[in-house]
Amino acid sequence: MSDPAEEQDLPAGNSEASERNQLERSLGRIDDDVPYHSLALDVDQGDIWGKIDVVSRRVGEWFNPILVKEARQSLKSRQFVITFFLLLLASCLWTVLGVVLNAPDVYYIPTGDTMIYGYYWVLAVPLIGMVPLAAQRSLAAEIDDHTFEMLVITKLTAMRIVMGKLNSAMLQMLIYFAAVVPCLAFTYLLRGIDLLTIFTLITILFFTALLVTSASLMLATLTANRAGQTLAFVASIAVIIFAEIMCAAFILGEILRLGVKSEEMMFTALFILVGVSCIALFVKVAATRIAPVTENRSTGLRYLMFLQQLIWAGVIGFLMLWYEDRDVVNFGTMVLGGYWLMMGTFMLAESPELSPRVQRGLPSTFAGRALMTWLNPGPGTGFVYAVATGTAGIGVLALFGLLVANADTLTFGMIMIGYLAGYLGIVRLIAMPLCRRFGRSVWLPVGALATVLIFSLMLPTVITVVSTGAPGNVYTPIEAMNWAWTIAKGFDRRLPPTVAFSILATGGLIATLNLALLFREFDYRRIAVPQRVLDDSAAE
Amino acid sequence: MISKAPFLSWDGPVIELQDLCRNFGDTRAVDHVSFTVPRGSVFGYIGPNGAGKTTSMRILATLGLPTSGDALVEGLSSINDPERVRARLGFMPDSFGTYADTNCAEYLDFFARSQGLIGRERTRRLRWVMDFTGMRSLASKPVRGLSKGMRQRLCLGRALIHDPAVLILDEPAAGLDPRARIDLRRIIRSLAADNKTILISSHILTELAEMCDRVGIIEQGELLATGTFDEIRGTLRQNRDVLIRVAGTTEAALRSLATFEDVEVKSSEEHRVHFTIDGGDHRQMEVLRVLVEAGIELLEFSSKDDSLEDVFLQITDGRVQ
Repeated sequence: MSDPAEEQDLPAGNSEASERNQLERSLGRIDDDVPYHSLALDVDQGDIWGKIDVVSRRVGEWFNPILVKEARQSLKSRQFVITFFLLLLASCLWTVLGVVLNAPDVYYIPTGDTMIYGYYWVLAVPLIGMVPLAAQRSLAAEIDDHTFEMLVITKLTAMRIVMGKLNSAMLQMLIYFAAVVPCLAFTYLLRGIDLLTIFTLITILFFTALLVTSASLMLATLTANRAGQTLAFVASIAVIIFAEIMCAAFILGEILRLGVKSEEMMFTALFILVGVSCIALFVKVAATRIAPVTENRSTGLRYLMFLQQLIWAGVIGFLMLWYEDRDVVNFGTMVLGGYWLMMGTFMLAESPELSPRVQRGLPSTFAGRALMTWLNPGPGTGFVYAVATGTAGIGVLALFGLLVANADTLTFGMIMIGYLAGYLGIVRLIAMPLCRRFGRSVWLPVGALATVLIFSLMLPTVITVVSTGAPGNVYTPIEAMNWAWTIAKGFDRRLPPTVAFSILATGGLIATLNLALLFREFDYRRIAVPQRVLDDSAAE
Repeated sequence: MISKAPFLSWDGPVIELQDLCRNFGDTRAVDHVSFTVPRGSVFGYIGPNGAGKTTSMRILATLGLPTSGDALVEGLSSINDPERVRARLGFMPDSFGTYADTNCAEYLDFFARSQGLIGRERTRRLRWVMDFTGMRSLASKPVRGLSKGMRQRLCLGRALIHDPAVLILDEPAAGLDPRARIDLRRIIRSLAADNKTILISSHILTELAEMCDRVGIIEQGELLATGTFDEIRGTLRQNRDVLIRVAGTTEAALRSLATFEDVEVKSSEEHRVHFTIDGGDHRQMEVLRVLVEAGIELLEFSSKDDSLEDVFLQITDGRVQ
């Protein structure tokens, strides 16, 4: 029979539910002998473990529901159990093997610096390899198994869904890490390695794993079809392999070999700074991809891009002063140019139509419209935003370069600005009719960019072959289209300033032509929030 | 019932589709569909496969976008204010996925958390849903091991977990055994009595006739008829079929019926006459009175109404692909 105490727990005014329960009992559907599941019980336990349980449960109320679900689900999964078992096995094997290989030195001289190499791989493979793939599969499976639709109609926002997946991945990382902690302590006791090195190793490993996991989550949201998901999975594996190699090169080749000096500390700090901004961007992109299309999915990303530019400019400025090397500035401007070309291409896939929901949040004042219109969603505003912000960032870095170099950095900056404006402008001119014909897809401008970049590499050579009968090995002004050769010449400081000016002028012309096609996106004005929504907000 | 979210009371139609259109390429899946559903009523959405039912339901459930038009829940647009609409509705799709390595209680608990229910409110709501849908004995059972009927009940529980004002049920009875269908019918009527507004689609038309207050018949994206079952039947045909059974021969009865211009005898057997009359109850009473006054010994006088299947077939006659 049902517990009377439980019946008393039912809220006042629940008579209809009670009547219905009576109906269900009469139907024979409720078996009073069947106890409620523990999740449906709210009985406070009296003993110490009960109190801990109650406190834990109350704390758990404030956790992301996705984290709770994933923790229940993934910690029971075969993948986790096998990975955890293998990690323990590998730790034990390496401990035994390492001691045997180092014997009898292990008793007399410091060998911790040797043992740590093995433990690094024991931790790096699951952290950078398994966790990101599991996170990607988890998000992709929501779409594949049709559970995602059930999720999005709850109160969970797209950001909370993605953060829940990321938090769950972090939880798995912590569990793996906890399993290896005794091994790291053992390594420290063997001497030969200090705590700072161990701490730096763990920090870099953890941030790399987090960065790769967020990238994998972003890749999982790029496409919903099975073929696309397979491609995304392959891309994830490529990212993981790259991250494993880079991380191993830095940790094993620098940190463990040379120890943690000021330069290593600086690079670690800068990596974390840039890494955190990349994690934020990847997570935001993933959330944007699964958010309703009527939402403003662009402005937040544009703010983040701007923030990333600030961080990058700061990092490059710092490195330039540290090394007093103009190549650092040129590298920084080159990365910025590529970054805005890529981001601008993604923004070209946005729809020029703004939903009423987005229009409710547009700037309302003249000053707001003048300054903030470029943050509104749309391919035209995206083009202007990418070119203008990229130009500002590259310009600042190039000017900053004058502190350690002559005008070389300015020349290089001009090339990058010219290429950014020119290539992005051409991609926009190609993508506009394509998007109108085939519908909005990010792959159209990306495909157009790839085609333009390849074509511009080949065209000067083709022209030279047609006109002279053989490919030339001397840089001529016609090679200005060849971005790879021109950038290489710019790095070598052997680029004639006239070529740099002509690239900048051509880029400016193409950008101006694009500006003439922008007016439609200026027409949008802020619209009033419907009275029904205002009333509903007030009632909440 | 658990305390409601502090939503502003709304006196207008709870569900409203306004000139809804949805194109997939050159195909128009939903073609200018408009209807309203008042609070506390059950609206049956009837149509063959590919008629546009699921598309329009998904738009209403904030899972799709229309090409034009709008879908409102308590006056809020499911396109421009999906968060507000989602807080008010529970959606049960025709096919849905479940999570591996979770049991029924964990599944419901997860969705309760996702709907913002915390603490004892969540616990109570879980208990109510488990009892209401009969999932209590299945609470610890893995979701993947459930039968079709159990899964449907679990999905209904998920849709009800946050006590929504509106329920959208897409083919909830598909694949259920007769017992489960009867249970489902009772549950739906019980929810409607609890002032829930329900939009339900089904292929099993007899069941819809029993549980729906109003129905809408959709075909090739077009809403062909809406109203109560009787209203639709009334607009569809003005005559009705009558069957009489007499003690003796049918000759006298046929003579009397011949005096009515609007009576058309369909068939006549030894003791039975099947005929149609134009008009409604009054005309039927008049015919009965004349037959009785003529001294005909009537053993049976019954009119036959069209079933929902008949009405559906007549309305979609020639249109169903």
